[in-house]
Amino acid sequence: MTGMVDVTFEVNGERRTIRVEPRTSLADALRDECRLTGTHVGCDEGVCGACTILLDGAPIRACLLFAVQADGSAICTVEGLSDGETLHPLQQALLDHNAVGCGYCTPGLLMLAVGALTREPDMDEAALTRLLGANLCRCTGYQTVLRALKAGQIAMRADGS
Amino acid sequence: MKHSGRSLSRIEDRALVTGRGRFVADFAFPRQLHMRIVRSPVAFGRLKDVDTSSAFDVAGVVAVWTAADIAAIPPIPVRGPAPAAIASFLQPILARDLVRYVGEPVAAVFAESAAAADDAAERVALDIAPLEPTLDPAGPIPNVMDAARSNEAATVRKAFGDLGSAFQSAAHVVAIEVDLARDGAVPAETRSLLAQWDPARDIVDLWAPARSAPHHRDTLAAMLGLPRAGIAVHVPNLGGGSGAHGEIDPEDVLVTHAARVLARPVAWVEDRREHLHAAAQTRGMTAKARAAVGPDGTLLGLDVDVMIDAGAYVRAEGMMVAEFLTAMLPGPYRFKAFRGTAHVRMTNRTPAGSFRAAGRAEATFVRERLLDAVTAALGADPFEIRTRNLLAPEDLPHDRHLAALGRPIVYDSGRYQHLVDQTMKHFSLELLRQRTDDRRAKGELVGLGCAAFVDVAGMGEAAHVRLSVDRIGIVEIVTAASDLGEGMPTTIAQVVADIVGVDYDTVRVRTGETDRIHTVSSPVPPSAELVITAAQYAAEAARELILDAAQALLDDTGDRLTIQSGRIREADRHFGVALSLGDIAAALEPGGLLSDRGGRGLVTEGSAKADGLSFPYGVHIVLAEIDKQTGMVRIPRAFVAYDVGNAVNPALVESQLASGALEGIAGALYTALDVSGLGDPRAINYADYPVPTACELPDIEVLVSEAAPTPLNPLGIKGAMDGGFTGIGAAIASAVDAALSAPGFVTHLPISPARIMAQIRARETA
Amino acid sequence: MLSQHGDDARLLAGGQSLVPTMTARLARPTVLIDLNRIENAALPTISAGRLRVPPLMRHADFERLSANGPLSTILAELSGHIGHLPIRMRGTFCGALAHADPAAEWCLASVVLGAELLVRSMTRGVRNIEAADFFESMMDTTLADDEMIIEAQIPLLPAATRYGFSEICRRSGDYALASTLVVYQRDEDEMTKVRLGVGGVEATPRRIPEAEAMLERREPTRQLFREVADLVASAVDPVSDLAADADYRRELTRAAVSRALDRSFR
Repeated sequence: MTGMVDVTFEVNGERRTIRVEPRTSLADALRDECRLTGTHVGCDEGVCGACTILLDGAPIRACLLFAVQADGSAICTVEGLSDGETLHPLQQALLDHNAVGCGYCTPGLLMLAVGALTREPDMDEAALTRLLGANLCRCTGYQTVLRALKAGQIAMRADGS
Repeated sequence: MKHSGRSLSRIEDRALVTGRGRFVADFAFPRQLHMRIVRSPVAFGRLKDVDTSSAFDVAGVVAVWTAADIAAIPPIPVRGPAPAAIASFLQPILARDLVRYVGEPVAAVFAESAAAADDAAERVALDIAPLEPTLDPAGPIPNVMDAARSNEAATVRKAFGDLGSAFQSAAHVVAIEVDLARDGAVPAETRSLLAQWDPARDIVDLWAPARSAPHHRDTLAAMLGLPRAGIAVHVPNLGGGSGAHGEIDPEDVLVTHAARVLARPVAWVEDRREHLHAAAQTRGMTAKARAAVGPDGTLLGLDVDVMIDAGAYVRAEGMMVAEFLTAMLPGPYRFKAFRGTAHVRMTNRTPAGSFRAAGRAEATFVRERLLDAVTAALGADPFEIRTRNLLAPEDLPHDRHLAALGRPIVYDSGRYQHLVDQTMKHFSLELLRQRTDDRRAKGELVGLGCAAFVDVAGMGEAAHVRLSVDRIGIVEIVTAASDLGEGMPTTIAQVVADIVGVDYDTVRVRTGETDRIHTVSSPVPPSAELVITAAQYAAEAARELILDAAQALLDDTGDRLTIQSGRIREADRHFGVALSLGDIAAALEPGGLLSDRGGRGLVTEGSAKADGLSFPYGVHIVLAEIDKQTGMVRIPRAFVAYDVGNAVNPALVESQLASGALEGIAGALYTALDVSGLGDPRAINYADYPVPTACELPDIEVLVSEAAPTPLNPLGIKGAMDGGFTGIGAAIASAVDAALSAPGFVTHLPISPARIMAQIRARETA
Repeated sequence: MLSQHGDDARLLAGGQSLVPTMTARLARPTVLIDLNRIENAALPTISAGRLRVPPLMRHADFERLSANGPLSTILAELSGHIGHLPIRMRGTFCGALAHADPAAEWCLASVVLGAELLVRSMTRGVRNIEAADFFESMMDTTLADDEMIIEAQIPLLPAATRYGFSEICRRSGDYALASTLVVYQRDEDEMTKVRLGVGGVEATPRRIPEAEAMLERREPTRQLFREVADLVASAVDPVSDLAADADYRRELTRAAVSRALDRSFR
């Protein structure tokens, strides 16, 4: 599989056309071609979740998708979450709850939670814990994140976002 | 507004939650090359030939290096004191005649893209004649297979008192054999590096997750024959600083050298598979321990012999694990005689580095398992045995004339029994004990386990900080010390803000920069406490400078000026003339009203030198539940009590302790880096290395105690360090024994559910 | 295209298993055919008493199946056990069958529920395969190089259906070390039309006829369930791997069977 392919998608509201090898993952394309380095590649095998983004609203692992597959899609990365300097309620909740350690897994956790809570705003604590089980973190121990998600969930409902 | 002592949110988090954090792999330069390492696929073998010719068939390959191409570069040195004989155990940058572990770098490919480098690396042909690997650290000496060297690189011995008489006079002698599997920090971010040579300045800029940027700079400069000024190290955001990142590894040397030789920026990003077998691992050890005990359970003496699996080479951390393991074996207990011996053993496994609570977690596991064995032998109560033997407040400071890496181990302050009592009370643990006993009486497999330990803080020799204020009054702190993602910038900002009189979130803290501040390297990076103390001194000097200048500017000779939110005014007046910090800074700069005071502007420096190590201490208690049908262990509750002297930001201390405890649970129940009989790594991806998720881990209940501030720094802070980790493995082992009513059952971490299941079945049939 | 390239080509549906294998350079297809652009390939239909699962129906689509009845409930519950949400958003039912991981929930379900697979080749047309005959060995099926699963058909279940599912994992979202699905009809006090299968234990998921016979026309009791669990544990020939050796897997099989049966009786 060689040769280069043009891929056009919308990233954080902006239409982009990039040229990639067919074997380039969407995560690498976002990082290297779009220079959106908030999407992290922690394992490149779909386990750690650091590369989680929203593809047409669905939280997915960007390392498990080829960039060419995203042609025509709308993508949201962590860089697209805040509204200017106003943070998304979940971002604010992570700040308020000291739920960031080294911060490497944070963008993936955020995108997972935003995607899931948009789909299903009324998740209870057990469901949130199961959801959080999707992504690995070695610093926070998850509990501060879980508390932040609960607070962010309430703020999201109030916000209607 | 006072900031210190409050749980404020972190100043560094805004960038991290918006995706604007910058990790090494997030940087990119035009024309950068990508490095890929060709690694040994066998644990031990004679390297007969490395054929790189077909690698060049791949478009975009610029260079392929083997050992011959970098023959002038010496092996990676050890930081800190080590015996001279260690020289023959150091790792060459690329393997020469022998490959000694799976993952050892043999060749380096440099190409225009990461994909091209990967493709080319696959075409480098290695001709290796396999040899029988040594995998057991406790095997016989000498190692006949590796004639170049013995398989005991060093022996570390610590002792006090008359061991012979302690054992002779003992009413009971209790002995155990235990071991720990290899594990590693396995951080969220894999290792990554980026080097760029600027021929105009003749400087290589290196972006690296270095634990000590000055040490990184100085070591690389020495190895590559460059002046110290020829390398600038930058430590950006670091994805999990608990051990696997930040030593001088072969890759660090290669990218730095290649950036100059190839005159192109060189990037290297490790992949996860690579990380799991090529990045530093640790913990592997086997121990034989004996305790001499008086008739009433009083400890008389301790004798421990440990075989440490140091892997194929002695890496940068050198003797650190062996030194702290042996020196911290005595823990918080009082006894007369001790001998601790650590054999630094070479195996055909990945070279060992460090991970949270290096040496101390191992020491705690051995000692607390031994205390549990004493408890069982005497039919006593585990809490009672520990309480009976704890050092009393009047025993402190406590000097047993032990040292680690040449630094005296003198317990500075501690109220151990007080912490145990507080813990029991705070978490109502008597009630939990009763309930657990009741549940067990009803047939459930549940148990409580505990571990007590003394930890080490205040590592490093010196820290240096510069504080400056610009003309608009913004305070900037610069230090070469690295931010390991544990909140150091915020803590510094809190301390500085209180002293200088500004809001903490306006303080800018730059960490991990060698070219913004003059600094010399010390083999052990400074602890956060040391850096905070240096920042405190810089801030105090700044405050003095500011108030002096303000007095001159306001013509106020009194002692009534204060600084609040960056404004200087008379303490008893809410109105009237006020100066801003920016006014003071401008006045002190050339052209300002006070430029005759040196004309340096508003700049101060703070240096803190370590007066000694400090010794925080902790108690870990866990409840273990065993699933009778699967043998799997769950930890529904875990309690971490830890004395930090004083806490600048209690929430950060709590989360650091909780995170340590969770990594401790992971290592006790889930994760290990094992190899097959041939020395092949068993865990090659995250599916085989099961990092527990939110679903498996409990909410850690933390008690941050501030009962014993250290006299060694003015804030009395000891730092949380790895205090959540150190005793968790031992406590879980103890709890699993209790749940199974099988004292001494756990001799190995991680605890295998299959072994538990076999134990359950064996007991059913018995 | 598939018939042209044969062994060199792979079909890409959700990609949640194939892509990581390619990243690790364990699979190296020269041609990768992305199915995700096929129109209307994600919506299930019901006809002739069967749920018809199209090739792009994703795991998460089973969470809220429009069809009522026990089959939907079972599939919804099972889908919740597959990996984690981001995996479920992409991975597909048919893709999971073709990947043939012995521990996959859908492989077990298709065998126990008697699914029939429609596979199609450009040159030879469509053939039907019983799920029980589809899995050959670990990660291997009877699918030819030029064939693709175009539909899975699962018989609907009557209202009186009872079922129990259990899987034993070290971590949430992991592939099961052992799993069991049991389905039967509750006829007065007796169990009839019992189907019980285990996954993740042997190289392929399979039904255990001895266990089904032992349960058939019997009254459900804890005692009986324990005996059946023991029987299954001794009837299987478990694989050994890093996560569990054969002896331990046998224990976990016993646990999974006993839990699935207990849950069927709730």
